[in-house]
Amino acid sequence: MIKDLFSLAMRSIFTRKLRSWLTVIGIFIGITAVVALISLGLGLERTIIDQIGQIFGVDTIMIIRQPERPGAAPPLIAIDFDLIHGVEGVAAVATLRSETGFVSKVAEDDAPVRGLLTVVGLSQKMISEFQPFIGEFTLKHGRILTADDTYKAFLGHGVATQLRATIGAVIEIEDQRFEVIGILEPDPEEMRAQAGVFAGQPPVITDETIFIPFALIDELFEEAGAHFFLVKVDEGAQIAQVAEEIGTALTAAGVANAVVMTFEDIQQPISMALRAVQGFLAALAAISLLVGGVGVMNTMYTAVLERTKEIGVMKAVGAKNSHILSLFLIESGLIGLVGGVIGVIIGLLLSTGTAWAVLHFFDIEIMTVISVPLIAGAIFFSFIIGSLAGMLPARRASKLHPIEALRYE
Amino acid sequence: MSLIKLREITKDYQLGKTWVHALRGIDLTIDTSEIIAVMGPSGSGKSTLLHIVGCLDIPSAGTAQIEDIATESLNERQLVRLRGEKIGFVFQTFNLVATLSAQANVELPMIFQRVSRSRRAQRAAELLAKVGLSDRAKHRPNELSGGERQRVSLARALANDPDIILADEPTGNLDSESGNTVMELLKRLKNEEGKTVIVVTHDPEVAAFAERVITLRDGLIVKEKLND
Ligand SMILES: Nc1ncnc2c1ncn2[C@@H]1O[C@H](COP(=O)(O)OP(=O)(O)OP(=O)(O)O)[C@@H](O)[C@H]1O
Ligand SMILES: [Mg+2]
Repeated sequence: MIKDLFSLAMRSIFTRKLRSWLTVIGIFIGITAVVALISLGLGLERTIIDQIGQIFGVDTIMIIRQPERPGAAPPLIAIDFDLIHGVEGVAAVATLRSETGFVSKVAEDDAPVRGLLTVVGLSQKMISEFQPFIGEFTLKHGRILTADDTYKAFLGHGVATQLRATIGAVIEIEDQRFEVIGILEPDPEEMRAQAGVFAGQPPVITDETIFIPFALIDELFEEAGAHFFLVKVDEGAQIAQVAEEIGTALTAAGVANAVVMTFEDIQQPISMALRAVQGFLAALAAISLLVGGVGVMNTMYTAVLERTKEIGVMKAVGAKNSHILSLFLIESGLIGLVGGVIGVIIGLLLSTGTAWAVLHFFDIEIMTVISVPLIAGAIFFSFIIGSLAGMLPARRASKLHPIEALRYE
Repeated sequence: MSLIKLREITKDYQLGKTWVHALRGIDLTIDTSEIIAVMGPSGSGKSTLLHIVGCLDIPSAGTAQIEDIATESLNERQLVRLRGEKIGFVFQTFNLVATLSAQANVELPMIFQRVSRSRRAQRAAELLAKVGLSDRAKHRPNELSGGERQRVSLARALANDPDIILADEPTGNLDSESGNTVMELLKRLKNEEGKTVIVVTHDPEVAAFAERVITLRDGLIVKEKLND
């Protein structure tokens, strides 16, 4: 039965090709916009999350102290490394602390060089375990810090040039002497250690930085601690559980206001913000669907009017009101459905094309996401819009009095 | 046996403040397997009468019985059902669905009675053969002559094997030869299958095919004549 009504509806759609297509256009433009926007949005979201994942690592936990006000840089937090190592599932703990210090080079022949420079205290594990955060150090001369080094430093290329420092030179940081043991290659990427960004810290510009052991930075600058600590969990460990236990351990040890964040915690607000923007854009695009729906309604009213006599005939040969109703509903639903399918296809092409163009012209890679729920949802939604728009015209058709419909000229 | 029994049928239409009395008290009994012609001037109520017999419309007053079923006691669904099962219509203007082939037009009433696809196709082919149009099954109405269209619409009227065929000026748009073909077919249906046929016509030649001719004027039967 439904199948027969379906083919009858198909027939009347196809005999009015031009009008049907024009109506379909009204639907598919809206669906195209929605699908393209959401696909791009999802791609952007996945790209960003992926990049965060690459820097931060999904098996990483960050500990910061609750900022005094939202948005403010968190204050220092001092944690004993052993305390965190004591938690089961913890593989490594690391931190870095960036400060601006008064630095001078003790010159033998020349006039002394001095300035306010960035000094970063690096814990040993930061280099060995959290390489993506800090980037790879490519040495030009000498070596980088090892666990046994004290009062040693290695310098970014820029700062070494500025201080005219060479291997073995002695520099003074906040009146404390350090021996230069390494000088890095010029860093073309400029910004490297981005870890602090998640804790509200500016990224470390390697080229302009003096690196010293973390343990010494407490000595040079007032107040102990760092802005953030990073914890790597054992392979296969439950990150959320480890994070919770760290929290418990910190509370037990009397470290106040510690916030333990996992990758999830960092990724979630970013996702939420992106989704809100996406939702807003999609809602705007969806307004055009409303216009498309009105188009379907208009087409269907015209169809009912045009086919009044046909409706009368169908009733005369035994069609029930419900048959006529379904016939017109199927017809408008089909228009919506076809619009939806075309819209999804064009929308996906559009978003893929845009991602390609962005890669091609701006060299920024945005992933393309083909979301099955989005596709199914868009097609279903356009079918519903078509059906809803056909509701009133179909009702009118089904309620026509057979005699009056037959008399209609 | 009387198949159709009309008693005191009236039908009034309101047109603004005035009333049009299309039928003003029709008493008519029609037997099974009878062929009857309804004549009368334009506006005398012939079509209205046919619509009431065909359950397309309900009388303002009076009772109409079809096979002892009083139609005024039926709700809309039941009327539709009765119409679909017992009655076939043939119209002056054919009223075929323009987008459907002859075959599909004949199948249409069977769709609404939920006849299976294969059964439908078979029956439609049989009916088209019966009206002599087997070779026109795939044609659209606009590819057929008037006489052929009317035969298709006759085949469609027969789709659900109704007991009653109601034809409203079936020859009105046809030349006399095509008209005669249609009337011959109706007569054969009556003779061979025992159908009851009511034909509205202005044409005495067409009325001559009937066994009984009634004449309406101003909504009343003014004359009733038996042909021999
Ligand atoms: N829907 C309606 N509203 C108002 N008046 C109507 C309506 N339908 C029919 N009538 C009136 O009822 C009367 C009978 O109409 P009907 O169509 O039965 O006439 P008829 O005998 O079939 O005429 P014709 O030979 O021209 O077809 C006419 O006067 C017509 O104007
Ligand atoms: Mg008439």
